[in-house]
Parts: sequence; structure tokens; C-alpha cells
Amino acid sequence: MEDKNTYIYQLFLNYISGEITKKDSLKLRNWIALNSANKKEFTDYLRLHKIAQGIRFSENFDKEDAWENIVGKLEDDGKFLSQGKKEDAKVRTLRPLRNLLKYAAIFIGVLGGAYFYLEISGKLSSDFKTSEENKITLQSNDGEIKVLLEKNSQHILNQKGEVIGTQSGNEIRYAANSSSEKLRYNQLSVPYGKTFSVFLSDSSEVVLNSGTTFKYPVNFIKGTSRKVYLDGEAYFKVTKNKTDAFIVETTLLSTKVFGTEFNMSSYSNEVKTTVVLVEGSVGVFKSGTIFDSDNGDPYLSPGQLASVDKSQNSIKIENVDTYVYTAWLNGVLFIRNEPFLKIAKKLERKYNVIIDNQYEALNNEMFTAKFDVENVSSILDAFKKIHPFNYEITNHRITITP
Amino acid sequence: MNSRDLLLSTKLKNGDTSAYKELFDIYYMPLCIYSLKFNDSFQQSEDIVQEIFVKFWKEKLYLRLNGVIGPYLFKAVKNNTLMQLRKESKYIFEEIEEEVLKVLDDESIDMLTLEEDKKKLFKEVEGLPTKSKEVFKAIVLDGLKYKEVAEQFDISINTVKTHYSRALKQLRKSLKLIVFLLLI
Repeated sequence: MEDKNTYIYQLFLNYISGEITKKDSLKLRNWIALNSANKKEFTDYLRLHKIAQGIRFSENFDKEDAWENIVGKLEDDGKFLSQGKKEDAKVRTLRPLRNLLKYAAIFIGVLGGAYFYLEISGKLSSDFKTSEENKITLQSNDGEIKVLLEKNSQHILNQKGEVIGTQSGNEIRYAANSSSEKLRYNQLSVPYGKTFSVFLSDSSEVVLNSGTTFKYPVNFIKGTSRKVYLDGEAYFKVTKNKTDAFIVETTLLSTKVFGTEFNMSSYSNEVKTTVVLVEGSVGVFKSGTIFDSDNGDPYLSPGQLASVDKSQNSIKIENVDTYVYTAWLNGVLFIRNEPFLKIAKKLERKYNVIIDNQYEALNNEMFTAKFDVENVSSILDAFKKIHPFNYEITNHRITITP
Repeated sequence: MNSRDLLLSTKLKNGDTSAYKELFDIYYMPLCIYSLKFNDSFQQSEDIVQEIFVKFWKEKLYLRLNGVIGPYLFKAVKNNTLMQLRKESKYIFEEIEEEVLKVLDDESIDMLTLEEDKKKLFKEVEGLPTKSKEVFKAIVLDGLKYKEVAEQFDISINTVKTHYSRALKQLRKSLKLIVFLLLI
């Protein structure tokens, strides 16, 4: 009997690959029509296969190649996409090798008929990990990158040589300038193991956690919304302005505020993006859309957390203890029923280390803990007591073994 | 109406060619995956989608679409994929395929019980007969093709299919989770 069942699954496989013969397809059809259990078995399998194919595709396809193909076909007809030209010319030399897993694209889902996906560049986090580049940097509008040493104080100048802000120690303050008409951006990158504060031109304060990149206009323009971009984690104290909304955009989620305090976390190597409101009121909405409360985009009250998963399409709201999410401002690491896998990422960022965990079972172990110490080994020792393992530290690398 | 589409549509109508790349970035992969729901060939799906993009721009279809780009593209992909399949006269159970598609749209994973479920699944996998287990792991966890598995274990493709079928049969309550495993 077992063989009969296995035989049917073979027909499933052949059906899907299109190799099924007419005779077999009739057999399969009859088998499916026999009862509802059979039908369910078949549809379940089909479903699995189709989802799996989608995922495999998203991991393997070559986007540049595809784009080039399309442009090529348009060129043949004498119609050319002028803007795409430069980029494509560069890509062309790379053809025709299909680079497996080149795109770490995560396929998010077949949820609710909405299709969207996310590309994890991986660039930001991996850059932080090299210790030479373990410096706070400021990138200006024209692409120039300046290293900010924490011991120093200096003026930040624009292209014309005018002072637009001042760095002193681990903070930077931008001067208000009401006459500016064009948005010019600066971008701060804070490496693992460090934090940094920015006072924007509207005097809003933003504290950047380790491993964070933050992009913002040097000056906001009156009458337009104050939009900034975050990859990583930051705490915002936004200066009230009833007319010009302050918007923080991350890959998945955006927050719209008029004046308030909140924490936002969106690391590209983490599954979840979260917003925790400490004071005031904010609206949250999917990035790439416009905040619309009539359409179900939620407002948060103090003590609420909004989150979006890379695998989920809807914004989830829950009540939380805000201090768990803001403890990092005081150098405290709060862990509340979190798997070790996630904790390891936090430790990597806070202590500028790479954790190579070769003890897989440990990843799923849940821990609750609070630390305000400065060395990572005492933290690992504490975990070791609860769940025994061995570790070895060489330079910035920690290897964990059973 | 989708505000992103509207924005793109306005750009396209104004002759802003950067919108082409934007449109491609947003829709290319989802469209291919949509096509893959009807056929099983990556190559074929990509060909179909690329052709639609080319047509979309060459014939300036956006001028006629009133800002509703997404639904048009998805529909075109579906039609062209099905047309292609009919041309090849493969045996397709269309009603069943339609049903599966409907279910696919509401698919989601319960993150809360995920860890527990995963443990359960791993346990079930460990309980499979040795060969079935090895083949299953190679296909699902390592993402190998039937042919590659056959070479690795030095058995015929048909035997691979038999082992895989046996494993799936036994694990079919956990299908959803297996899919999720493919994600991580």
C-alpha cells in the first residue's frame, strides 16, 4: 500500500515538471476526484511547490541581467533609455555569468495579494565589522567622507566653506538656517561599539545606536515635511512644529510625528522593524506609502510598540515597557525572552565583535537578562551559567562551541 | 488606487525615464514569481515578464492605463503564461490550479508558534527512514535538484523521487513549515 502512495507522489512531481503522460494525468485526475482527502493532499503539495519555487527564484535570479535584456530589446528598435545607459554599460562587461545568490533578496510574501520584497544590501553591516573602518563617518552631499574622531571638536562646512554645524566629542549640532531653499543631505555612519548624537537644524535630537546609518538634510525647508532616513536604531526627540511633520523612513516602516519622543529600530540584518513611543503621538505606516489614518494606518499612544516583520505584511501593535527599548541610551542591554541568535547580534553591535556561533542548538535558547557592563566576556560568562558552552576570544572574534 | 503606481504613472507621462528602472525594480521579481505560479520554468517566466516590460514601454501602454499599472502587469503576465502553456499542450488541471492560487494569496506563518513547530518538524524528519531523510534534507534544506541528489547518492532520479515522495507523504501535515524552512 505504501508504494501506491509513493507512486501518487511521483505523479505529483511529474505533473509539476510537465513531464506527465496523458495516461498518468488521467490516473492522477481520477485519484484526486476520488475523495476530498486526496484532493487536499494534491493541492497542499502544489501550494508548497509553488511557494518554494517563488523563494528559489527570488534567491537566484539575476536582476541586472534581466534589466539589460529589456534595455537591449528596446535599443534594437532605436529607442533607448538614456538614464539607464551609464549603469548598463558597466554591467554589460559582467554578463553572461549568472551569479547564484548574488542577490540576497528575501521573498516576503504572497500575503494578501500584495507583492513586495526587500533587498538586503549587507553592505552597511559588513563594513562596520572591519576594525579599520571602525570609525564614525560623515558623508556630505557631494560624497566626501569625513572621519569624526570622538576626541575632536570641529566645524562642519558646506561646499561654499560656510559653517553649517559643529562637532564636539560624540555629538554634532547643525545651525538653524531659515533661508535655505534646497535640501542638502549629510549621512552619519556609526560603527559597532559606538553611539553618537545629532542635533538637527530644527534642534530635534537624534541619538544613534551602534551599527546605524542616518541620513538627514543639513537644513529643513519651511513649509515642507522634515524627512530623514534610518538604517539601524535611533532615539528621537523631535522639536514641535505643527505644520511641518517629521518623518522617519526605514526600509519597511515609516513614522510621522509633529513633536514627541520615540525609539525606532530597523537593522537590515534583523527581521523586525519596531517603533516604540515614549511620549506624545506618532503615526506609523508602510514605507513607500503616505500616512493615511482613514485607511487604517495606526496612531500609537505612549507605551505602545508597532512592528513589521520581513515575513509579515501588516503592522502589529502591542503594549510594552518602553524602558526595555530605550535602555541602550544609558548603556544598558535589556534582554527579554529573546533567542540567543538575536542576542548575539545585539552583542556584536554593542561590543564591536563578530560572534561565530558553532553551537547551533544555542541559537534557539531563550534568555531574559539585563547588563550594564563594559566587557562582553562577563556577559558570555553569565549566559554560560544558564546554558553551558565554551567560547574563545581572539581580537574581535568570538567563537562559541558546545 | 495604489499611490506608488500613480506616482510612477505621472513620471512616465512626463517623460521621466528614471521611472522605467523604478517600475522594473518594483515589479520584475513579483511578476516572475507570479508567472511561476502557473508554470514551472524560471527561464520561461523571465522571458514572458521581460517581453511584457518591453511592450509596455515600446507601446507606451502607461498612457492608457490611468495610473493602474500593477493590476495590468499581473493580468498580462497571467494571460501570457497560460497562453504559453496551452501552446505546449501540457496537462494542466486548471480548476485546481485556480483554487491553489486563491489559497496562496492568504498564506501566512504564525511567528509565535514557529520555534515550537520547527522543533516538531525536525523531530518528524529524524523519524523518517534513512534514505528518505537524506534525500529530503538534500532537497529541502540544501536546495539541491533531483539530478544533483541522484548524483550525490549514486541512485537514479526516479529513486530520488520515490524517496522524496515518501518523505513528503509522511510529513504532509508540516508542509507549510517546510516552505518556511526554505526561506531561512
